[in-house]
Formats: sequence, structure tokens, C-alpha cells
Amino acid sequence: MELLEIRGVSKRFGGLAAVDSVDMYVSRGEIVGLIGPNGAGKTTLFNCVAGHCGITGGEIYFDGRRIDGMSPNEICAMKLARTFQIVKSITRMTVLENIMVGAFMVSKRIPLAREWAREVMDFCGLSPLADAKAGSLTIGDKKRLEVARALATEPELLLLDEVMAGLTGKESRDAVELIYKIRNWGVTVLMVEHIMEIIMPISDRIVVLDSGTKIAEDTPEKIARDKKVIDAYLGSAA
Amino acid sequence: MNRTFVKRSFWTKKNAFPIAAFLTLTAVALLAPVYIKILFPLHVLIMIYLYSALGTSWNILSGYAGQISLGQSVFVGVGGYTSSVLFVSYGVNPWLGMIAGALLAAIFGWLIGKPCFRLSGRYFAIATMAVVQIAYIIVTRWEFVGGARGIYFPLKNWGLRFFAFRAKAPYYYIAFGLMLFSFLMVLIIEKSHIGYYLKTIREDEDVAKALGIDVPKYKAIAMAFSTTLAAMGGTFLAQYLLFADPDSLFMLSIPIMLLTVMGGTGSMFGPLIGAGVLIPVQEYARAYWSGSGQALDQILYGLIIVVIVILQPRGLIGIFEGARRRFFRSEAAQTKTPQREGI
Repeated sequence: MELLEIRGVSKRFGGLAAVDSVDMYVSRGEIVGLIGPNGAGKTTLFNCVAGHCGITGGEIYFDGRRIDGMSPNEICAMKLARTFQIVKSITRMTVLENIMVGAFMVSKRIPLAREWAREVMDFCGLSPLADAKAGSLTIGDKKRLEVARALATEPELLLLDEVMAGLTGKESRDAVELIYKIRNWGVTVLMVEHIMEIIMPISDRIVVLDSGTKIAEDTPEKIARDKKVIDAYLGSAA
Repeated sequence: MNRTFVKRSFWTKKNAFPIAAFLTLTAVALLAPVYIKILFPLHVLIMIYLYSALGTSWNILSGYAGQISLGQSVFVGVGGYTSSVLFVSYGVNPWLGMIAGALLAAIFGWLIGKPCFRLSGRYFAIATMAVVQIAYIIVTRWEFVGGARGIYFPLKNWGLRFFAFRAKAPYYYIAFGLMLFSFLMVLIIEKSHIGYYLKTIREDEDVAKALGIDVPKYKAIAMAFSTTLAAMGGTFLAQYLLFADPDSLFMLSIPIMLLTVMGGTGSMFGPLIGAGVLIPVQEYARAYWSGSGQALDQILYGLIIVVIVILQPRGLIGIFEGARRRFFRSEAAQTKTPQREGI
């Protein structure tokens, strides 16, 4: 069984199907990209997987156990962590304290949690900002903090929701490097991203959503030539 | 990923100043009744300690966990009435009554929390306000607990055993102990993961859940700490006044909240600072001017609140924090962290 299996998942808001019987999977050690035009249902699918909203059809399995219907904190305890598209730093806490909140999943003892948080902070390159208030960071560092905090819960699978949106060229190159590092650390990554130049080279596999349904799933090279994908993004020629 | 850590000593240079300050202030506070022979200042100090503890009970639930309660007085009332009814009607020792009141308030808090914690922000505040109004009306009409007249103590058993004294000094020490107990509670929260979790819940519940925090559980923990402390304050107040009536126990929600907000929410000494400024104003203004029939005391009280809100919107604790920053600035400048390059 794969690390994450999504089987025929639907999410309806009234008459609108934001996600419509989507099947997909993520294998251990992969970086999977989830792309699609605005309103394709990418973030909704993330919310369903992470337990923030219930699903109206289908099943979700993580590590062999069914997780749909579980609350987000139970899912997090099963080692599936997420970041938010709109960064939600705890502005009144310092960078280190923010990461410690995630680190308490590993140990409830403060010295141990702090030590583990420092390690994650170092890993994400945030150490020079340890004592800065999270509210004072640049958007690039806030996104990095968002990743560090999720990583501190020691996940097996990390869901990244548009961590590169709004970053400068240098910042997004740093972020790409960080995602590679995370994978090499043994964490599987499923990421939503808008910027094609970034997601194409780093993904092992890409899943394309359009209007809530999966229209393609393949390696980045083949996705780039897929007619249905090109139509979805640019509109069909006919 | 080996998780080793260096155990840090408690007796560091950074801790030396707060520890010395705490010990000095405690010594001064403990000696105060020996030198203050006039009753009124002692009464004001007792009120400061009591309201500091009550403010802390609000601060834990609303300042730390962010669940703004406009009905904190319900728990003061449950505590005060439980011990009073048990003592006057059944002859149960008030100290035992205090424990019973705290337990009952915690259960009551859990029952209120179950439905109310599903509401967020202002709706939670409105619900707690409704609860206190309902409780007030019930107690006013309920003859078993004395109705609107309240419960008067028989005034025949005195001494530590009966938690009733003719002098003020014993009350003073008990109130001081209650305040220290409230600080201990905050210390337990601040120095454990609970404090981090409550602050995260306050800032964003979605983030809290995503980081694995069992939000209902930690709200219930905050509620338990908060209600226990409020109920103990209620018993103290009833024993101090030697009667319990709806107005003196169920109508304190707003003052409790106000003085904590004035002092500074989400900080350990905010309630004490708020009480230390507002209670003397309230008590002395009441003593000197309330007889004039022109509500001058209320006007002065209101004016001071307006001035504080304008000058220190985040609470009086801002003044102390500002002073501390200036004091430690030279030290901080040396350890200032360099910004990352390339941003």
C-alpha cells in the first residue's frame, strides 16, 4: 500500500463539487506536485486530506489506515503535517517558540522540545532569526517558518500549500533547495504550486486537477506536452 | 537526530534580578500588617490581592487561551455560595467548602464549556454573558440560597479554623497566599507546553489543530485552572464580607476583566499591576466621594481608564517592559542577531 491513497474523494459545497471523485496516491520518498488552474480544488483536496473539512464521498488512507473523518490533530499525530497557503505565524511568539509549538509533538518536555526545535530551525536556515518575533519577518522567512513548524511535528508526509507564492527569485531558489533537503531527510512531500518553472523540475510526478477532477497524472516531461493540460491552462484552440 | 540538551541552571545572572525583586517585595508585603495599623489601607491591599487572583483566573482563560469570558463572576459566585450554603445550612467547615466550591465550579465550567467552546470570538463572549445573567436571576429567586437577601453568617465562630476573623491581618495573609497561588498556576502554564498551546489556540485554532493540538482538551484545561481560582476567590470574598449575596458575588465580571486588560493580558503580572492601580482608585474614591450622590468616584474611575487606554493600549505592563528594555539595552546590543543575507 502507498503512503497516501486517495480513492474517489469528493467534496461538495451545496451543489458545487469542489473536488469530484479524485483518485491519486503518493509513494514513500517521492515529491509529488499538484497543479491546476485557479479554483481547480487543490487547496480543498489538501484540507480534506489534513482533516480540516469532511469529505462527501470516497476514502483516504494514510500509512494503511483510513483517515477521513479524523480531526486534524489526530491526523497530525499520525505524522502527516501541512502548511497553510496564507501564512499563519503566531506573530507574538519568536521564531524558535513558533517551531517549539510543533516540536511538542515529539516531546512535551520543554528542554527536549527546544533542542529539537533548534535542530529543525537550523535545518531550515532560520537560526539567525531565532529570537525575532514572527510578526516582523519578511514573507519569505514567514513561509520558511511555516515549513519549519510543520516539519517540527516530525511528519512522514508533508503537505506544502503554495510555499513559493509571492517569493522573489532568490527566495524561491532557496525554497526549492529546502524542499530537496526535506526529501533527503526522509520526508515525503506533496506540494501545491502555481509556478510551473519551479514545480516541473523538482517533482517526480505531477497530478493535474481542473474543475475538481483529475485530468492528468504523469512525469513532468509528459505533463508539459499533455494536450488536456495545455487546454486547461491556456484554453482550448477549438 | 540525537536529542541531547544542556540543563540550564535556575540561578543564572538573568534570573538574579527577578528573584531578588520577588523576595524583597514578598518580605515587604508580609511585614505590611505589622506596621499598618489603620484598617482602610489594609482593606485596600486585601482587595488588590484578591482582585489580582480573580484577574489571573480571567487571564488564564481569556488572556492566554483567548476565550474572552464576560461571565467570570459565575465561578466566583459558585465558589462563594457553595462554601456559604454548606457552612450556614450544614455546618461544613469553610475550608472544606472552598475545596467543594472549587470542584463544583470546575464541573460547572466544564458543562458551560461543552456548548460554549463551539462558539468562537464574540459569540463565546456573548454566551458567557448570558450564563452569568441566568445564574444571577436564578440565585436571586432561589430561597434555598437566601434569594435576593443573600446568606448572613451567624458570627459566632472565629479563628483560622472557621476562616472568619475580627481583625484584618489574617485576611491579609490569606489573600496574599491566594495571589501567590494564582502566580503558581500561571507559572505552571508558562513553564510547560500548556502555555505554548494556549497561546497558539488564541492566535489561530486551525494552526493549533494542524500542529497536533487537541483544542477542546486544552480549552478545558484552561477552563479548569480558571474556574478553580475564581471559585477560591469567591469563598474568600464571602468569608471576608461574612455574607454572600447575588450582587457582591455575581456582578464582578466586568471589573475583573477591566483591571486585567488595563494591567496587560497574557502576562503573569498584568492582573496585579491592573489591580494595584485601579483598586486603590476605586476604593479611595468610593470612600471619599461616593456619599456626595454625584457619582464623582465613578467619573474619576472612568477617567483613569480612558487615560490608560489612550497612553498604554496594551496595558500598564507596557511601561514596565519598556523600562526593562531600556535597562538591558546595552546587553542586548552585544548579542543582537545578524540579519540573513540576500533578502
